[in-house]
Amino acid sequence: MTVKDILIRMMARVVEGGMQVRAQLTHPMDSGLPGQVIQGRVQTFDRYLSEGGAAVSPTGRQTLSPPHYLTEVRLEINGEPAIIVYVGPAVSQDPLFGWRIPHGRTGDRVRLIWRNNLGETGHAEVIAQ
Amino acid sequence: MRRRDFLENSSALLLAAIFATPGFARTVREEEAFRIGSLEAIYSRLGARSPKESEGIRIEAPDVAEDGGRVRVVVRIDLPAPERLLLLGDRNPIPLMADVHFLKAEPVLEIDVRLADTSRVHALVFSRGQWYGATRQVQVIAGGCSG
Repeated sequence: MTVKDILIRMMARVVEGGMQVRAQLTHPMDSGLPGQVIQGRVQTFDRYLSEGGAAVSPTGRQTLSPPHYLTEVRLEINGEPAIIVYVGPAVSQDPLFGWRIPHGRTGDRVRLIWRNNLGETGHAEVIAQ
Repeated sequence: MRRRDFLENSSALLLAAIFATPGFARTVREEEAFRIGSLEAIYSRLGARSPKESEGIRIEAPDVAEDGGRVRVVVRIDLPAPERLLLLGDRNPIPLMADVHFLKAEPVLEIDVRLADTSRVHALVFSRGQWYGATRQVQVIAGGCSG
């Protein structure tokens, strides 16, 4: 899975007393632990073999698939860090995040930056409505 | 004072000044805490010892979750100057689900998590030099086996 497979749907809406930001990231959040359902398929040993490579879960166990999960989601408002969320594989597949920012204004630039356990990173930006 | 000592001392002072600057957020992901299987070991690792039970932390989650693979949890914090939130699921192989640093955001978090089984969800908050905690039970029908 490559970086371009991660899509971010994000909206930032100015509400009374601040701004509400919600984002959904399409991400497999594959912990590598067997028996987990990923994109509608139960992880199997066949799939593991077809994808190749030994894999070890964050707990150090041998796993059926290479772990692939978000490790960090952070939000910046007009270039200033507002919140940092470090996460582990217990975050859902295609997770939704919601935040509230005080003093939000229409036109504020809201940027989401993510990282994953493979060292990949990416971002998305919206303008507050 | 030898020149080298002076340079070493001044770089230490400079670093101290940078870290003391308000708004300078130096946070790192506590990799080890996201691998440990025991709540006590995580709390110890993160220095979150003896949290006081607090009504200033509200965990919103379904009483019964049909699918442990996606449980919407909202944590609302009403404590002075909360800096950090830890969210944990006590039955997950990796209990630490999220470690949140509030910089310029309101102390609210909405997040979709996996719960491996019927669990106690713990929220710990660091506010004014003290850890506070709250717990909520979520009954899970089909476990979202994962981290």
